[in-house]
Amino acid sequence: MIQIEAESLSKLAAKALEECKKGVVHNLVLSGDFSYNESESHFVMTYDGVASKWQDHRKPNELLINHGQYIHRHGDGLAFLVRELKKKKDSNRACISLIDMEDIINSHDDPIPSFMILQFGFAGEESKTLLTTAYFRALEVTCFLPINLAEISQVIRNLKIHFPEIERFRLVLHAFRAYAKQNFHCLRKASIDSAEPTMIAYAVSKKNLAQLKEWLDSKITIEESIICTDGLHHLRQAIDMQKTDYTQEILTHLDKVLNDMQRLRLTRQSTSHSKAIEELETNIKKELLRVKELLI
Amino acid sequence: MWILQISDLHIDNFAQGDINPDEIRKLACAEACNIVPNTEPLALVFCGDAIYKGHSQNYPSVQLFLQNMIGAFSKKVELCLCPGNHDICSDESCHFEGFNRLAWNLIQDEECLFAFDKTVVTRTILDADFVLVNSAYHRDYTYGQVNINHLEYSLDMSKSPTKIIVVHHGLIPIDPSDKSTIANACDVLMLAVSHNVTAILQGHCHKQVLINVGKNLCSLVGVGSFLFPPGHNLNNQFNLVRFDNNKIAEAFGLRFIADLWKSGRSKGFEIKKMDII
Repeated sequence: MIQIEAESLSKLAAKALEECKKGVVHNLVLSGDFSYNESESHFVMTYDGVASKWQDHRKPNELLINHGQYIHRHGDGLAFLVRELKKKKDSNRACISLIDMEDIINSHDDPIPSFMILQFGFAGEESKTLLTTAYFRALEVTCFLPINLAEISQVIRNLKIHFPEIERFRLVLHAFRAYAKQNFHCLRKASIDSAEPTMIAYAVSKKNLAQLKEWLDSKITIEESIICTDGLHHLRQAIDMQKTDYTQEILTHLDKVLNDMQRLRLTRQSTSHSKAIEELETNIKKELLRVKELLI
Repeated sequence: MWILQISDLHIDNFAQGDINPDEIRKLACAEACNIVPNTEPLALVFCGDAIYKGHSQNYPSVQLFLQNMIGAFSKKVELCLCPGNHDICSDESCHFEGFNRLAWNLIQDEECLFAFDKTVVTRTILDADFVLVNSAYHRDYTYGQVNINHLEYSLDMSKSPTKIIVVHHGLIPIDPSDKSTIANACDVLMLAVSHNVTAILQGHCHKQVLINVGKNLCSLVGVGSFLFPPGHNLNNQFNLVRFDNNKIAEAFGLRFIADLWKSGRSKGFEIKKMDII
């Protein structure tokens, strides 16, 4: 177990990253006692727009899942928090539980939130200090932790509207397994995977190389924890239909990529962190770069 | 201390010219490694326009590009970033969130994040204060402007004898057709001179320049685009500047010469010592 304390949320995130760069951390505990203003810091507001997408009642198309869809599926989760804390300041039930056993049992390797519980309470009779505790089954600290901290800050700001006496918040964040992936996709779909198949076919037929390269970049520049091959399948199909305009080599490399992605998906079913995964990920990126180079 | 000054990446997927951006990066880093002694500290200073026309989906590519650039050196390379007019994105508020996320992912220092009420930030590297100025904070891409109050405060707060301002837009008009020079450049220069600023590093104009101004000879150092679109091989350049004793000791401009490189008559970048005007 590693415990980290800091005087600001940004320092908490930076220290967590420093620790996770050395390797996976089991039971990472981040904590701090902050003034309310920290929930509106420049660091937090940098991620506020992205956090809003994660907290939205409806999942935005660009995300594979979002937290709002889980928080609000049985009614407005945030409204419940306010009601519960208004009714009973020392309630032990002022919490948001994002997933239940059914979600986990039936999830296989499909994406489900890693952010599992967010609980609030007040220290003593007065509502000046908001106790804030979060539990994550897994936590990527480079890209996702700043978003998660901004999400938590959004909920705190929401509670402040109903409890204007809040002056401070005391955060404890517990992650069962914390790790750092420099270009983690944060469950955001690569743009090629959210593109309509007809748009991919159109770009291929028009030889819109800039667009095709941008789509390939959307797979090359990020590290995905959920394997999605939709866009690359559509791209392969479309190029196959326009064989005269493209070199056959592109199809060979795309086949290798799709094959490796299938192997990666199977490997991921038995382990989340291994050398084999790293090697497959590197090969996939190398092959995609080659495809990009061949688009001339 | 050495500074590798780059600007105007404009990362996007334009049709490529004779060479791709990764190749340019590798050639540039190899050249910089040859020139900068391994024992000397090095800072990579980026003067804005990471992406093109606010296409924020390309920030991950910029991140990877800069990570690879830093990773090419066998020593720790510090990084300074300021945004440019092309970094104004429509899918953000007035606080440059897209650029800030890039800065956070690369530096992890809240002090280096820009906001509408924080348009100038200071990053201290060794004994030098890099005063990073967002000259696009007003979100009008047609011209540059500096929040003078913010700049003055940052310069007042700086205790280092070596103060280096990093800004995107140019301070002196260079091209008669270009009206985008910093609108209040005179105020910026007066502050720089009165605070004994060592150098002002700028981008935007896609032009190499080195001019000394003021009684203490504050050096204005401009650099052309590192990856100018659409070809990626048009006038690609970067500067290497060595600072010593709060002054520029020497400065080199490096330019990629595509035809010589293609025919094997050049290693890629041609080096020229910059003359101080």
